[in-house]
Amino acid sequence: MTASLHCAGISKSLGGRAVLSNLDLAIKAGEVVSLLGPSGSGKTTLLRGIAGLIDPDRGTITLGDRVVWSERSFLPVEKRRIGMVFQDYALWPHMTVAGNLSFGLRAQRLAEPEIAARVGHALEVTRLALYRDRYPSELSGGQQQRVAIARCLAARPALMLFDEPLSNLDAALREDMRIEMMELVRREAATVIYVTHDQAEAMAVSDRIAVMRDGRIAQFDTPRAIYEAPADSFVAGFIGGFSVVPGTVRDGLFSVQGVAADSLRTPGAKPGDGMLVVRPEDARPAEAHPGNRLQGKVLSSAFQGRCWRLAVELGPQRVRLDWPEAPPVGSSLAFSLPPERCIVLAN
Amino acid sequence: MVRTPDAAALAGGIGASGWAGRRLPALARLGGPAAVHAVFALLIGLPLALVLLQAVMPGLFAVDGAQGLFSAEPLIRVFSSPSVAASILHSLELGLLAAFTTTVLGGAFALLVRRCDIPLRGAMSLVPWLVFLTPSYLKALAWVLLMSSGGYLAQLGLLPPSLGASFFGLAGLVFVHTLSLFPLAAFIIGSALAGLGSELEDAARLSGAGPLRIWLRVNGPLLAPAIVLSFIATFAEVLSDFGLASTIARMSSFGVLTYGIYAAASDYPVDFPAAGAQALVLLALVVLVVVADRLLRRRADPHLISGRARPARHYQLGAWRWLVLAMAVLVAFLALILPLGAIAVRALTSTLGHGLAPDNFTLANLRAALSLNTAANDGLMRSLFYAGFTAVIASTLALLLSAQLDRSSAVMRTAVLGLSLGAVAIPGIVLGFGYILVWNRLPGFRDWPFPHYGDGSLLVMGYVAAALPYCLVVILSAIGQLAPSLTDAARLSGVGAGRRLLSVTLPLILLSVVTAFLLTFIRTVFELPMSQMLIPQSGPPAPTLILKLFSHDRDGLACAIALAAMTVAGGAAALIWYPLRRFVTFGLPQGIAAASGEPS
Amino acid sequence: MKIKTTLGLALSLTALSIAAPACAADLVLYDALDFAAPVAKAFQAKTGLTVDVVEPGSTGETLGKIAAEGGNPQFDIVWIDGSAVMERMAADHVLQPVPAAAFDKIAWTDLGKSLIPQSHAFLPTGTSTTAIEVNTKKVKADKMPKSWADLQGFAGSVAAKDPNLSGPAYQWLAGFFQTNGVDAGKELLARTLTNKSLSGLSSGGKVNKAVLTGDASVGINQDSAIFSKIAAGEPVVAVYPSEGSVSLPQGLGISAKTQHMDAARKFIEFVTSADGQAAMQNGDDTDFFYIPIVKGVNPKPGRQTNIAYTHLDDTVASTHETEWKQWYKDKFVQ
Repeated sequence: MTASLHCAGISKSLGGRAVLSNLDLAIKAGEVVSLLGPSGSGKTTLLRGIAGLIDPDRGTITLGDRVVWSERSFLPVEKRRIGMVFQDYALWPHMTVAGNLSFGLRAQRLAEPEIAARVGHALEVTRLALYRDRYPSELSGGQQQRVAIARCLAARPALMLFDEPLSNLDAALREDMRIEMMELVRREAATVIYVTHDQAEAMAVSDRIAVMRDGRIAQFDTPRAIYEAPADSFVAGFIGGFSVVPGTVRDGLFSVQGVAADSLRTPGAKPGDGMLVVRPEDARPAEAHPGNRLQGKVLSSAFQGRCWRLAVELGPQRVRLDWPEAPPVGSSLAFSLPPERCIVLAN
Repeated sequence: MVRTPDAAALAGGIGASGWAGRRLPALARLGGPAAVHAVFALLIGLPLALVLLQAVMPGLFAVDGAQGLFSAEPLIRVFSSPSVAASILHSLELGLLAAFTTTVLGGAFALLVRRCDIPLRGAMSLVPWLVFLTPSYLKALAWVLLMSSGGYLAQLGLLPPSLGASFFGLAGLVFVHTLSLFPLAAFIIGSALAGLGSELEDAARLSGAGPLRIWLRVNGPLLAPAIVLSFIATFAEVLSDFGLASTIARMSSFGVLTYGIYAAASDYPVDFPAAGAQALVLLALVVLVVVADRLLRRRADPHLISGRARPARHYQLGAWRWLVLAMAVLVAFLALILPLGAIAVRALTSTLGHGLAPDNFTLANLRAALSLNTAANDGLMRSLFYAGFTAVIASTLALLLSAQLDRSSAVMRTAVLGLSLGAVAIPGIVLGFGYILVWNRLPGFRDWPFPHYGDGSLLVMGYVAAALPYCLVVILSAIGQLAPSLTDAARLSGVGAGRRLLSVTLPLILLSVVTAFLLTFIRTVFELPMSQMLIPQSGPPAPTLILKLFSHDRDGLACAIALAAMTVAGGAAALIWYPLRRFVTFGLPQGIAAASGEPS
Repeated sequence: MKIKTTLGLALSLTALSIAAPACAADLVLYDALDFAAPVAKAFQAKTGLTVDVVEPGSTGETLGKIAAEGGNPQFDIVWIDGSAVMERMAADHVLQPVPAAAFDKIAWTDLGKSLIPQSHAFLPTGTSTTAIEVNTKKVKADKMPKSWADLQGFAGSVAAKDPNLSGPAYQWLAGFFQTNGVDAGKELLARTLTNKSLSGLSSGGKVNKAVLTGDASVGINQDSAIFSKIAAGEPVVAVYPSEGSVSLPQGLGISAKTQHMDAARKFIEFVTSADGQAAMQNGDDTDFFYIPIVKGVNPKPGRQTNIAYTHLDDTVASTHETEWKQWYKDKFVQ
């Protein structure tokens, strides 16, 4: 029942502005892929295009072995067998929980025992069996969210789309909900596209992440690969609070722009101008890597539990560092970065 | 873009049924807008075009054979006639003045009901609805009964003769128009106030702004679109009004355009070109105002009801609230109680001249209106029956069109909303005239069996055309407030368009659909110009009968029919509406229940 | 899809059901006369032939509807006040001449004979005339006007109908010019009708109202309207001007396109019969107080018939119609 998805050469303009430009995306059956990007990067447009709620201008969308949209033919939304969990859940307020689940199944003319079985199963796995006769307005936000997922599961779609499903929940509930939701999805082995602008959420749920920028995919890889080797400074900047510092590489040594004194060994970096990626957790005491030592001024510190997150000024640049203690604001700080962790991206 | 299913798509393995499945949406995609266009063209566009065309093709409907020759003669004749020039000026003067006073009164009333802690707020918020539902010609006739020099107020010694005399002129017209149209302004500005909430106001207060400054710099500018919309809507209503034009304005020799059209159209032979030319002038005026507004503001489409209701704080007026309440009660008294009282008194008395003398009271009029098989009772029943049908058809059609429009482009939505507002401004008399031309003169339509000129079906169609714009505005704004994801979710669940409309959209906007239904029902019971122009051969509907009786000086019976019709229509509406509201609101989140724009 | 179709079917079926009863009548009558409906009812009871009575409102509105229908008239018979307009419709071939045989069968009074048009454009069924309506509460018995000329004394307080909107009013205007002279008449009117809010009324009912409410002390009105008010107990009287009055026949005309000639002939026969004339008096409104023109038929009690008539020269009246109507409009309307 679960299917692969292939989008090829998708373009879409809205009001004269290109929202998607010649975009390609291939997702294997059973894979969970996140579309990650800032607002306006086209991720929701792509999602709605795949669902069939909007038509692209060009390209083809293939679900399994069936073309569901091309410039010459299309399969209407109602027949695509794609499920979606909306940001606002989109629960029908005048139907009970069970009614929300069975409505679509009835429209597809499934046999009543089949409907009952599917609704029962979906309510059971989402632990909603007790609430089946309640109206959505009588449920909490987390329960409404689970109903939305249950409705999606009961339909047994070939592909499930999640449109920022956790953004309406409070922080405490969000992580629990995320874990529970992904457990369900994994158990059903569904193919999932998950739209979010929260990189931590994307990292946690995905097999692969497609980082989007200006209607294109900037990088498409596993969370780990993206974390280890962001393709460019945009990806690096968008992922995980990395700092990106401009500078120049000469003879395998990186010097930060505007800071003449210090330089870092960056093995394998191409000579010329580039951007150094600084992951906060890579900061080490100055003596750990004496050849890769930098000196800066502490601007602020914030307690984060395991460590302190410092904002440190390096000449005209700023970096974020995780540090075991909080030096006074305004004091000078010396630290080092392990050479093998120093990635320099071309401009 | 027309697309056909190709081999690659079929290779997906769906059989013949899938073929139809792919074709239908493509048809629906093109067919939807086409259907919208067709409905508007047939109901409003074509009849209107035929009337207007006469202004430049005077020979089009000549008795001795049609001639399609262009000529500027009618326009020149109309513009060079001093009485037409005067009536244009009168119409403009009256429209602008009344639009101003109506907007002020309506805005004040909305503010009072929505944002002040006056006593009896619930009852007061009902007043605009009741006023809105009372037809303008009845109110005008009631004021004639009250204000004329031998009328009730003079008989009671409450009316100095000088006031009575000045009433029949611009002042009286502005007065009656303001009292009968202020609900429109109150609805438009009131819903904008509800959408505004008081968060922004609170923010301004925290920044140290005083109430006057807040209203001038924060609330005022934010409400400006609603205020302008209310001004335009009332201006258009006044320009196109026929009820007052044919009563008070006529009696005061204050000729306005609508009456000019009517006068040109009630003679043998009819001066078609003059009627067309004056209709053209009238429409041009309305269009000009709407376009000017667009050019000045370059805003997106005018939302009659914008956004969801946000929480609002009520002003504590302290002891002043009793004074304010007294003013609101005075408005209610003048706009509703006094005119209806005059009609009721006239219905219960045998002559006007003998006024309120005890032996003048009689039940004969009411008995005639209510006993079976009298002409009066037949007319009443006929009208209730036609109105019921019209309400079913118009609200269903509006629902279908709205659902279609909600999925189409913003341009289309704006166009239809604009067209609807424009259609509200078309005088019913012009449209009714166009209906006769289309359905009795145009080959093809003439012999079409259903609807056919001279029978009830065409009258119902005319009623639908007159009611559709109102229904569309009510339902479209309700649909606009539904989260689009609700229907998207249904589509993704494989639910087809028809079922989506019936099972998802309809239940969520049921209150608005019923509101549109009842609005249409009540307005149609009293709709005058269409009833006059398209009177069925099987017998006259109540409005025609009421006006005929009035002009034949049997105003007692006319008032009795009006009274009975108002009681029946109003009672039926209340019986449907109140239980339904209680029932529908249950189990729904507040936002949706509040979205339907009903009196709260 | 299925739901939509069902809905559509249901709607069109119900819509059909309202249309169905409309197509059956044997005769369609357009009129603006109070007694038309009772007469049609009596006719139906006697002959079994069904009549649809269509009354859009005033004479003007009825004429407007007929004009809009143009070459495709929907009525079989039209029955209204005013001879000139009937002649015009006949000239436009909207009406066909009433068969000569119909006229011959009737025992006309002398007044009746004088009303038969040469063209046979219509068949007169009764008549009325214009009189001065006086509010007895406002005007003392010794101040009663006796002629059109006396109305000058009430200048500013005289209610009158706009001949542009009322057939009878034009008949009166043309007759007035005939008796008082065109130029002298114009001057007289200019001195009399000095209140435009009273001189451009659209119907007899409005003249009645103006006089009853006291807006005007006197009115120029159809006499049958005055008698119906007197019968209703209102404080008014009808005064016939010494210059003489022009009669306003009510005419029955037959549509040029009628498919029901037999029924139309039977209807004419019925109207001029004793039963028909009785039905024409079976009510209390204006038109029931007409002056009968068939021998042996008495008017409603209280209706004055001893009136000095003058005969209107139709040719002069119709030649100057547009001109005089326009003159009236420019002078006394708005």
